[in-house]
Amino acid sequence: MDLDARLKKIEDRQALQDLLNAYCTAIDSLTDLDGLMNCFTSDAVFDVTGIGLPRFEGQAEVRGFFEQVFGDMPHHAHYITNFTIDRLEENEAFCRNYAIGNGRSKDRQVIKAYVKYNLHFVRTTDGWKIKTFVEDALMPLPDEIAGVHGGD
Amino acid sequence: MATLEDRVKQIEDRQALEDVLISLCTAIDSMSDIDGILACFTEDAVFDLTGIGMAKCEGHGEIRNFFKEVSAGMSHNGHIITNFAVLTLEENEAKCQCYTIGNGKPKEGDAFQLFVRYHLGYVRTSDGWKMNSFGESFLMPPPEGLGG
Repeated sequence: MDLDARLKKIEDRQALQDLLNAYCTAIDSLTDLDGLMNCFTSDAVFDVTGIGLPRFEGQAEVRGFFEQVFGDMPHHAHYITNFTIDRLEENEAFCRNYAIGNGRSKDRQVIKAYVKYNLHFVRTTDGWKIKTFVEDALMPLPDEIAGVHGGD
Repeated sequence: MATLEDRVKQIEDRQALEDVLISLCTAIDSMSDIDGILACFTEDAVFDLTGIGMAKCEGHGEIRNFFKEVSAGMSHNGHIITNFAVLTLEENEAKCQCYTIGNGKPKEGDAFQLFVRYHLGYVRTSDGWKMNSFGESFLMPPPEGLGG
């Protein structure tokens, strides 16, 4: 592999991590819906059925979910670790990470969730975006999660 | 189009910025290496913890005194750093942020945990990247009695 291609691989890896950080910064701002939606493709799938919440398709549905979450939660903090790339190709990438999701609702319910994100990224003309976001539990989840995030 | 040299330099800079932060945590968590803490900061650095209800220190002298006092009261410290992000990176300065789980156990009293964000300003010096500003804000409400 030539030097340019090797460098591009490192830059892509950083860009993917940057995108994940931008996603966390936006969800933890609890206000920046535009910043959050900028992380996703227009046809993105946001699937949180693995933690007892719904599956959303497309920007409108994903935005609607976060509008509700931002309205309900005065505090969020998503700590990201164990980022790994399973496959990186020219225009798509499959990655995973662990997250410790902390939250506190308006009625002061405190949540801590140990989860895994399964991420499918695609390269667009506006940089890398999340096309599919699937979340699974690593540890048993607190009952309160459905209560504060509008699960079934 | 950036040259290969420029692109490599940017990667090296990003890594160096994160290395300074990890050095800072290592020195803080040693609870003895105050010179190691100061080596992460410029002489005129502003270390501002007012965002979490604590002191604001200006310059090496004040930062040294702060850590001398704080370290003397602690039996354990563990600052876990995640979500490191470079927000802006220019030739000689950078802005970064990270999330931190600040674990501590005072000599007298119970262990505590703080969920915070660091707001970091860096400048490139003849001795490598250093922090010239350090701010902190809560991501999650602090335990009762902490955080001013």
